[in-house]
Amino acid sequence: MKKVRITKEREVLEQYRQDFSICGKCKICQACHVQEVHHERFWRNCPSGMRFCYEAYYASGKLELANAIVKGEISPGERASHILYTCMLCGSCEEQCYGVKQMYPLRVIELLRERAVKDGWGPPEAFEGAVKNVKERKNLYGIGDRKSKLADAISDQVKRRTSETLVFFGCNFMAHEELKGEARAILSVLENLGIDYSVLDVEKCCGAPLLELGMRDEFEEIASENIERIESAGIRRIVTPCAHCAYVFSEEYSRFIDLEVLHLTQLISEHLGDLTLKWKGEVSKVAYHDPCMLGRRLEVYKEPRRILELISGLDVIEFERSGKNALCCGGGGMAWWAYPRYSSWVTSERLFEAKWVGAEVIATACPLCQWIFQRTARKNYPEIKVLGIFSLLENAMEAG
Amino acid sequence: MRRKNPLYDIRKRNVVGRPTVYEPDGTHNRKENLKRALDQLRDALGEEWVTDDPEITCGYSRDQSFVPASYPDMVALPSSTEEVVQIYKIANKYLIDVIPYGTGINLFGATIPPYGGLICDLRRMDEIYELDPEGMYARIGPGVNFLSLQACALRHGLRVTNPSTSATASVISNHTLCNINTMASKYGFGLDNIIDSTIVLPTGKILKTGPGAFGMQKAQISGPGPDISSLFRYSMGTLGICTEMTIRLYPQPDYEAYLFPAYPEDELGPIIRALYRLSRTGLPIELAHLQNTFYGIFIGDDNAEAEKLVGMMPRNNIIAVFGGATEREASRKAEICRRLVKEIDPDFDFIEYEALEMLIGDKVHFDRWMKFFRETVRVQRVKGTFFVGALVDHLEEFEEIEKQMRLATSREVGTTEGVFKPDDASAYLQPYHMGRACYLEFDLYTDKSDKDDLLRILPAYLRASAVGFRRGSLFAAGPACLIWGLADIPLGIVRPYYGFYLQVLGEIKRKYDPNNISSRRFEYDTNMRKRFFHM
Repeated sequence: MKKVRITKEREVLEQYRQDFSICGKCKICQACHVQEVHHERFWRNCPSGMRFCYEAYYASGKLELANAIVKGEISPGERASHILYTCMLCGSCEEQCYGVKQMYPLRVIELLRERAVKDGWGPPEAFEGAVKNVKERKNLYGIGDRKSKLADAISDQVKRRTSETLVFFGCNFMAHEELKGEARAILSVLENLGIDYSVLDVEKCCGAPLLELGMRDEFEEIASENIERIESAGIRRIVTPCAHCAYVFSEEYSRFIDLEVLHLTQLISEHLGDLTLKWKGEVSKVAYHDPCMLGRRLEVYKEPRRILELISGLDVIEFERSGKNALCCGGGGMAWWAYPRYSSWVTSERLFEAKWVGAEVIATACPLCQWIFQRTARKNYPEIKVLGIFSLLENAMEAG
Repeated sequence: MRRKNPLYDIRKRNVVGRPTVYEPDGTHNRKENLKRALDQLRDALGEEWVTDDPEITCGYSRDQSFVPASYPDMVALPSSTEEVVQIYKIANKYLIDVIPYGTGINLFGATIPPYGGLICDLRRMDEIYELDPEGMYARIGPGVNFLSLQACALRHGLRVTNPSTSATASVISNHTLCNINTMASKYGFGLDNIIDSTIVLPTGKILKTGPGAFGMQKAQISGPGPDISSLFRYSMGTLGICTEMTIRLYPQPDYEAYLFPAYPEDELGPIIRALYRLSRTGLPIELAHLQNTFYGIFIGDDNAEAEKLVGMMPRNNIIAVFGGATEREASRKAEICRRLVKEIDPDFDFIEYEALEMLIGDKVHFDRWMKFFRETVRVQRVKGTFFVGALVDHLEEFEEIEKQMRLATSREVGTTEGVFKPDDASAYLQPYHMGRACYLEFDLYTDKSDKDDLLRILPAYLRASAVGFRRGSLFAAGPACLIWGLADIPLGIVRPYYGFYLQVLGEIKRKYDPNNISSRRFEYDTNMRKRFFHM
């Protein structure tokens, strides 16, 4: 297998020694931006800290864990693994800390995961299935081409197209029946707007799950395969509706090849112009959930909102914690795979918030967020509908 | 063999292995007892909320201070007063030290366990039990921070006195320590605003203080009998754990006006006279002096903005906020104070709100900055850490004290061209109670990861502190805080003055903590710490 160093310069935990040595324990990393908290119920923003409460589950404690491991004070075991892999890598801690102290707690956590893999105490066994699926089946869910839910949504005619712009759907669309409608909506919106694009006959995972688990070597292997495919197909631009894929293509792949990476909301928002869009659904109060990878990581906040705001008849409202303060949906950092109850707890907290602000619909721009929300909303908050942003747009285009 | 040179100990801080300090012949925190206590605590609190995993305990082993790392043996997260009672009962049975932990934000190692033991992390008790908009008070748990209480109070048109600490700091911890705030010239410090509290004594008994102790309504004043609430101020967990507190809130005015007098020269005399005059009028609801460095630290949104702000602002600044039922009333108050300041020294400039907007940024942004300053401070933005000294004295004393302090520190550490100079002492004056006293904060910025820097800064800090000691100023916070655990370090200095007082406190401590388990900082037989620095 060809193995190329495709990603950014390799870093090791020790390079961030100053960050975990001088953390002032001001605990700002545990909160939303302090000037943007309007209700005491919603000041916290660290999913693992909120659930498990011990200092170690917050970023300030994880920095101390890194400090203790690097200094050889403790030998990490199961608990360290739990602390590390219940983190949703949502980046809220870094969002707060960087502005104040120019420190990188999220990067420390990512490197701590890489250290865990290297030293053999991570990831926990419960992730074995996910790793195996990605490595062997090239798909997070181990879905073969025939069982792919995407296969039904994409016509053969579309599959035969060639273009320098590739629409890359990602593993979630292949696995979840619930996302079929959103996939169809994406294709319909692209057609309606006359955008030239192609799709891959068979998609292979971008490697985000491996990267999130700290398995950089394995990630680089799968990424180098993808890069070969992209290059041989003459792709110059990748557009993806998945926030995780967008982040990995943008921050890892595009450092190696000349590749423009856009999230689909960015492309669509450019093309919408002055279209007349009218919502024809029954419910109208929509709260937009910022996916962590799209918002805090790629700083795409405006485009999805612009799309929603163009749709007349929709009452677009904000979560108490929105934009840079958005709480993770419960699907970040792969924690949902190994700790489904905990993940569902975080999702319920976000759904509670949606209900609190009076939302009838949660709209999001990431298939993983959408599926995670749908999974828990069905059980705990059936009154709240969860829709992908492109399903809303398709509906409005038809009506407009 | 133990070396007696404390500086040697600091240099040796980076040990391999867990730096928990055990007493060689100690009766407390014995291994066989820890195991039994752990089992019983898990029965009492639930398996999930008590642990001795080193991966968890390491999170409580350090803080922003230079106090050397020390791991607790275990951590418990109680969710109620009753569970804190259980913790104390079990700790007494097995002689386990109990160290209360509010949110762990402090600059002097208050929650770092000196000898291992149990950290009682109170963050799960984060409920605002009651907020009475009419009576203007809130009853809260120890896990409630300023961020959440301020958000709640503002929705009711009220405000909690906002201290110069992180918005995520525990309100109860901060109120029992000092709570220096921008409203202090009118409403006093936090400890003046405690109505009553519920304390779990180290014996496991629950004590209520204040009017609540007499079964009275929230009368908001002491009585009808003696009030011993203040006994627990500055006690730092040595006399028990506060699990509930009722504190005063203050109304948000309908209209506000601002005054920003600025004095470009690097001298405090005119500033002190202006602060005194303004606070005596009782007109400003908020009044504080900020040197340009503090202006940057308090109000800058990030370090870059903080530095920009420091460069742009005059050296000495006053911020005064006035309230009124009408816009006219608020602006009249500001106008009166403007004239008073001008009478004190004609060299005072007045920066207009609009000019600050232009100078600093757009209006929305400046409003945010004002909100930072007034509602939810987010300090500690300086990369590294700082030694903080906090003196309380008469306003007029500080002109001389500040000069001497700065001399003491710059002699020791020198100065730099940087924005946050290492010797930038005495930079923040906060008048208290209509000018009857004043708080002065002097900070020495340093890089915690650089031990050489520590060795440079520490003597400077001690010299600056000595200036305050010599002049008889009260130390309001920082490691010189006298009563925390009846520390042995300043004991020699203060014994002639406070000897009997400390003796009485010691007797109370012995009576209600017979096993010396609650935040143990000294030994009953010697009245001294066993160790100050760790091996």
